[in-house]
Amino acid sequence: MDWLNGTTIAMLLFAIGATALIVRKDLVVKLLALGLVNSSGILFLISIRFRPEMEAPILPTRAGMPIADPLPQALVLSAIVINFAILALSLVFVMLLVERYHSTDCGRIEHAVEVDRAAPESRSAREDESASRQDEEAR
Amino acid sequence: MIARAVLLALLPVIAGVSLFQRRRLSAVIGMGLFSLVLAATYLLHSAPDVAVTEAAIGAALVTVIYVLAIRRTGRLLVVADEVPGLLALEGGEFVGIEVDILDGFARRLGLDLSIQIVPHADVETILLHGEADLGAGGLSCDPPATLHRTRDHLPTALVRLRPRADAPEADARDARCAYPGYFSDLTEVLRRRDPVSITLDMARFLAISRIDLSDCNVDRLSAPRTYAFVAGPRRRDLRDQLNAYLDELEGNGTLDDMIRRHLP
Amino acid sequence: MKTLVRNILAVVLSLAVFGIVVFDLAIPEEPARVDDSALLAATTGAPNLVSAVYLGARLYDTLFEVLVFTVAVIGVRFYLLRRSSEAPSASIPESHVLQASAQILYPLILILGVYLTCFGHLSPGGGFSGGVVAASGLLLCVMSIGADTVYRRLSGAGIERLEWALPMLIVAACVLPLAFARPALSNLLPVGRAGHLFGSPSILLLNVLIGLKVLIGSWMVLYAFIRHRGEI
Repeated sequence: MDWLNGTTIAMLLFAIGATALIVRKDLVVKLLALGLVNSSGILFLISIRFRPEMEAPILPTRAGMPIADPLPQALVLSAIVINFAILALSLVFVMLLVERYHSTDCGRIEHAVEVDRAAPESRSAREDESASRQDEEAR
Repeated sequence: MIARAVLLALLPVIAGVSLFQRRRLSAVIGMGLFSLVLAATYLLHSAPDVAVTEAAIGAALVTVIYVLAIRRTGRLLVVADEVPGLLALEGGEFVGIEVDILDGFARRLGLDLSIQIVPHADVETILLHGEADLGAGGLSCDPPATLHRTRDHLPTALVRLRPRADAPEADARDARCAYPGYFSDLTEVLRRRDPVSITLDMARFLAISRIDLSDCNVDRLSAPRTYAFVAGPRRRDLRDQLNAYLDELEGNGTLDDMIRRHLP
Repeated sequence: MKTLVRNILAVVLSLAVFGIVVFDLAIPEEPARVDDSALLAATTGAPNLVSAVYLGARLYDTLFEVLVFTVAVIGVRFYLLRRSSEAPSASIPESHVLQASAQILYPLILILGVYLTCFGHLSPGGGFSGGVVAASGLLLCVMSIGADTVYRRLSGAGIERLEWALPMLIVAACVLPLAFARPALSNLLPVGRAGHLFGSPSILLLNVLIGLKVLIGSWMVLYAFIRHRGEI
């Protein structure tokens, strides 16, 4: 099973992630698919120069064994942590969007954004009106 | 070598299955499992540093962040106390008139309905803090000014109950319209004949009427009341949508069917 | 007036630090060659070659990755903790099994995080993974005690000031070799016995600083997500 190595699986995962990113309409699932695309890139980088007899890159190794390349591992290590931080930030934006438009469906959000853009004066007028009515009721 | 091949073959399967799930929560948990298998794959590819980092981040922190984020999105969260006939838990499922109304409404909005049983007095507090979208469960009183009340869907009346004759005569302007705790504790209170004065609405009163109440003082209050839902402070739009939905249900007679089905 | 002076000082300091680093990003006399593993380990004193690469030979990249992490955390805190909500509200209680087991487990996981950070140059681990594991330990602590209690105790101990200070400390650790007439971004403290805990003290120092930074940043992100209840 020569083809079943890390690079081909990484390409397959990339394809799955990209498909889910386009097909699924839910914003949170789109973010999950984007995370999958990230992970597939990382898997690709790690498994490019991998041979089955390689050892981990921690130095007291058995003599004569080739060592796995430490450079892509080092680059990828901090990339994983950065991905987490950026994912948190994009989730914040998704939450803001959802709380403004009360839906996670991207079709619905696009429609609502277009409605807002088409009539911005009426939307701000409606908001002012409802805000003043709420102030009155609270008093 | 075999382990590596097996794990590599497992990866696209897990990813494909979990990304095309219907529920968001299943997708998130599936991707957490995927991260764990991916960490094992990294380990077998002689990258132990990357494996530890991926396991800690992907399986723990990312899953937690997603679950915290989708806690409120895409759900219609209703807090209520149990009332047999309106909203009750039978065999693990919610049944009742209000459940049917809320179910149809949530489906109309494209959200998942999620009902949580809380003590009656906490319903308003939770709504004021913005923790939930709607309050239900036989609410017949006027809520505080910042909450929005929908139109009524069922008429009712209030009954004041004094289990013992020496219980204090409650003030006629008592604002409480139901027993403030859980409904399931109410039967215990009555069986013990506690010296308190309880105000109940008709649905709860009918539900406890199988207890022998012949030695209790039962007064019926004269002002007519109605049941309604209550929406949170900034969800005026939700209240308007629910009003429109209730009007529609009344118009095509579905509301009467529900009442006849659940309250004989 | 004080704000103006502080802003000017901040701008001057950042320009100075990055100017030094950029213009004096001197090639050391013996560049740490990444393809010769024995030489790499000897130069930096860390048997873990991955740590030797990203904290020795490629420290410049790690510096900017820490910066990106900081900016992302600032973004999350800004958007989610902007309107600090009122008193802690009645929330759904956790199950007692979870609470009791979290109380037992969280010190172990915190110790695991500290171990991964400090021994990161000898065995797999390092600042990034150690910090993240310690953040999950803090998450378990939240499950057993409660988010607001943990936040109050940590903020009372000055964790937010530490978060501001840490990027400056990391940059200082990179720039200080200049004071000892060595090029920037090389070893700050001399290399000792290879394979010993204090055998490469500069890498240990950097691991600890990065571990603390990742721990505090992840905790801030997690707390912002936990605290964000209801509509904005």
